[in-house]
Amino acid sequence: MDTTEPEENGIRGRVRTFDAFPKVAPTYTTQSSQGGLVTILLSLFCVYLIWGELGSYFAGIEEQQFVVDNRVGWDMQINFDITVAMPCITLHVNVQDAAGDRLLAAELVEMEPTDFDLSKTHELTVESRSEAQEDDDLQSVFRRAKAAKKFSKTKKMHHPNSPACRLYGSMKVNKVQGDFHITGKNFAYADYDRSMLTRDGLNFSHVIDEFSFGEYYPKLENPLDGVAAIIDTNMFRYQYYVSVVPTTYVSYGGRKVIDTNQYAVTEQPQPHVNPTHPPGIFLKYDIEPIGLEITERRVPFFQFLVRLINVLGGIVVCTGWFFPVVDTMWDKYWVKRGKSIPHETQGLLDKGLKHSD
Amino acid sequence: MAPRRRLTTFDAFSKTVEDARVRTTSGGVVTIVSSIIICLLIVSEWRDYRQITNRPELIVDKTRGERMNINFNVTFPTIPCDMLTLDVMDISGDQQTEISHGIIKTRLGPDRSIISSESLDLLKASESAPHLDAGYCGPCYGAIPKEEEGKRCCNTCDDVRNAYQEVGWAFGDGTGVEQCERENYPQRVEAVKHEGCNIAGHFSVNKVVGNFHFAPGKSYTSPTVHVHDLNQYSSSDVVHTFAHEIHHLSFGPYHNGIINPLDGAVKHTTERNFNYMYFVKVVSTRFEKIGQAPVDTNQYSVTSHERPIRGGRDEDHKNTMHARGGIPGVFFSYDISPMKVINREERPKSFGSFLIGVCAAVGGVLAVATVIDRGVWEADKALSRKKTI
Repeated sequence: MDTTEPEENGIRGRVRTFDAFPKVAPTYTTQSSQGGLVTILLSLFCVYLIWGELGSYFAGIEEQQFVVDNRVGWDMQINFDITVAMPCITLHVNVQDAAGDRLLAAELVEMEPTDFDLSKTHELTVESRSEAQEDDDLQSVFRRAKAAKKFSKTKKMHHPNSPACRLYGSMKVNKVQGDFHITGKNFAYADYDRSMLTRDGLNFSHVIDEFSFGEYYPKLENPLDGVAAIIDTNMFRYQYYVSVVPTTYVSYGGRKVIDTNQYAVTEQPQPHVNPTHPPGIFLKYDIEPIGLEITERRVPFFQFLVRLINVLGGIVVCTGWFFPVVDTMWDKYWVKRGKSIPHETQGLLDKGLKHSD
Repeated sequence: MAPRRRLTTFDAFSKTVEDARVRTTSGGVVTIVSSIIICLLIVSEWRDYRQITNRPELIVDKTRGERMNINFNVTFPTIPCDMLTLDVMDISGDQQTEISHGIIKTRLGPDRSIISSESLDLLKASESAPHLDAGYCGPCYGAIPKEEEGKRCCNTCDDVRNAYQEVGWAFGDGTGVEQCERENYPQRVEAVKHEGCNIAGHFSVNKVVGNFHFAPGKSYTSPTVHVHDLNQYSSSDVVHTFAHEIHHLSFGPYHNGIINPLDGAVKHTTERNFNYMYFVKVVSTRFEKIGQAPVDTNQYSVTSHERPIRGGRDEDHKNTMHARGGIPGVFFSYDISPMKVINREERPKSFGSFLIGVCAAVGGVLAVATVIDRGVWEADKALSRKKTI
């Protein structure tokens, strides 16, 4: 389109009268090499910022809500994988809860002899898994939350003189306060098989590879995963107090929902035991009534658009203001001192009228 | 330099002389399109400004010595009202046995038709015996302590029942007890045995751990035990069960934002000795709606549990061993969470930030449009120059 064409009466002409953007006829404008360079830099900067904005838009924001479960609860699954430094035949597993029920866990638990392996473990109080904790954002939760039915296979026993027992499995318990415990045979519950265990044989050193509530997601990190406790005296009572917080992760648009439980844990090693407190490993759990719902959300599209446009507009305006000032100074004080076109007649936003070298 | 000229330097809105201005069709199109975009963005900003968001907050509940109302409406289709008692007890030692104030029991026929509805206070008054002479002193059948012998009279059937209850004896259906036969108590028991009962109302409890239960027979409480007189319930030739339907159970005032999980729960059983247990965790909740007074109420989460009194292995989950003992009934054991949820409705944007948003939208769009417009224009110029060459 020729810019010098006369006024038309057609649609084009009518549309043209709407043009609110001042363009200065080329005869009045000049172009400078600095201006070109700045424009290129500016475009690159804009692309960079847009890229960042797009990234944060698609990454979404996490929104947390506190919810009180409005369904009537029945049961809850416990997944565990614990290795105790005692032969399987001497161990007794049980769950007792506030409803008065006793889960005969021994019938559900897999018990297999293995080595007592302390590599890859740490004590509960040691913060050695900061990396895993940091990796706790929604995206990685969704990536790692792959439900599994089976536990990994037990490693073959290499050292027959240090027998240990791996207890693992998933079981349903009442969704009430309860107590999951591993005790020595004949030390907490009367057992007819009396010959098995003496006081000296009791060593409740243990490694917890998995202890979680709800569906079994092997890759999700729990506070007790990888925790080891080494005990050098017998007749030891090792207690964990676990507070379970029901947690729901909802991905953007509700496409993926993961219903799981997080928990907080404190431990209490107790060297002195009495008949009412038999030795063993006791995991006492309670369920918090207030659950957490973590939802992935995106900024509304229009808001995102406004932000994008603001960023671009801001840059353009700022540069338009900044560049002539710098340019003027450059001209005035370094390049052509005294002998220059009078810049005073220019406005600050007016980058159209620039002096060329 | 003249002062006016110096001021001109600061003019951020320089104007191009009309001769130097160029209007193009592309510019016009860009203007129209950007105006439309601006309108859309302003509308969306306005919506955003008017939007009410719910911002939940979690605080530690610092209120003390509060009491809490429990509202309920439960139907027991196979237990007559006379047999049913409601007791409340909590960890502070407070006990409210056989609560009657504020509670209405409705007798239901076997087909669930309403026979009569009565507030329990009235029932007590009608049971007095006005036709007896003033000097009458009925025997209590040995159901009073030795030292009170001869000083205390049991003039009505209810007195005898209370005396029996105080010493912890089972009462039965009242045959052979003079006062009860006079009041036709055995016949009454016989007459209502096919009936059901709807019990509804509210009572107030301390906001501490506690439990309330619907159980058969009068209850007897000593510092160490709480027992119910199960004689009538278990010796009746009609099988009474604790099958029940919870129409409503809530803690604290009504608010339409609360879903009470137990509303509408129905439990069936044909077993006489069956125990239902609900583990309720109460969470204080405050609703703050825009333009409304805040409402302090409670939400709850609940876990349901049921077992036969004889204990033993569960029929569906073979690995679960139920405890043995206890009494038939429906038990609600409630626990109070230390945390309080505040559901606050608010408008996240003030009018000022709405204005800022509008300005930003307009300014941003115009700035970008300027760039596009210039780009189009320059491209167009370059093309036409090529053509002319």
